Amino acid sequence: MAVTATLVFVGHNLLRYLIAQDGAGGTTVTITTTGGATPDLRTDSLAGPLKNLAKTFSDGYQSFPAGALNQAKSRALWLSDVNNVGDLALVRTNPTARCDLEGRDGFTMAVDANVDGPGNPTVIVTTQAGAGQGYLDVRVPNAIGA
Amino acid sequence: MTVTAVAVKQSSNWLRYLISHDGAGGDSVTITTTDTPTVDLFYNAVGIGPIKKLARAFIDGFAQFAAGAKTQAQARALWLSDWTGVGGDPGNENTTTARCRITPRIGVGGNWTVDANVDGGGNPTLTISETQLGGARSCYLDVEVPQAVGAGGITNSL
Repeated sequence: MAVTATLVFVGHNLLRYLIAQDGAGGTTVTITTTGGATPDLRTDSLAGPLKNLAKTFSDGYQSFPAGALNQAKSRALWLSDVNNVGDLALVRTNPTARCDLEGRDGFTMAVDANVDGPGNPTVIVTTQAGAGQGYLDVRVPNAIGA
Repeated sequence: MTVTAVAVKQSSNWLRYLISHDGAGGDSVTITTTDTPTVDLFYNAVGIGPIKKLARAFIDGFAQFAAGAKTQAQARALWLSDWTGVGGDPGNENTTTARCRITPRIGVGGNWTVDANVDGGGNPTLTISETQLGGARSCYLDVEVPQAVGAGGITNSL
């Protein structure tokens, strides 16, 4: 894999991943929510808002019932982007996450949310082609314990 | 307009905008503070909180800034927490001001920028630009008052 995501910090409301691009090909890494091997938001998170968000497929979350989600709902959960979801109450009254990027030495990245084939939410980091490293923070801003 | 801004997260102390560039020309989009019912910091802020107070600086004044027309330096102090050229304390610890942060969503290697200025009437504005990438690209702009109560996901629904 040309791009890897390694969990480097775990808090109840903050997960920090080191994104490493070796420059050997490929520009994306996907972080899952299925409870599989790290990097996986359900596996990697402690009890708290992030864990609850990561369990949406199995348990549902607020107005989102359990089961397959779509990209718009995934973006609402992990990017606090209610665009095309239409559920303003979800992001106004309930914790949702935000993804922030910090590149090292000019390393550039982008982050988006989507779903896998069965509809489990995913977070995808796209990087520049050349080698470099940066951080992805997945967090619920200003929540107690973050 | 080829660059658009849509409010996708609205709270008292944190606004998140999706900035989308369709790649067809034009480089920037401006977010106003005139209470225009579109993409406007005054209009989009929820409840009575720091963001709303900052956005009313033209009408009500804010801290040491009197009501009325602002300068670019004053707009930068309010929305970028940059007190250069304003006078007084650099980084006034007693005054709540905002910070803007950009996170690319689609498109790598671009140069998204955000700056504060004023319109012809002296109302503060935020302008977001990207000129290096071709094709469609997007990012999020977060406008927030760091560490203020309610800045996170739990806010009053109004």
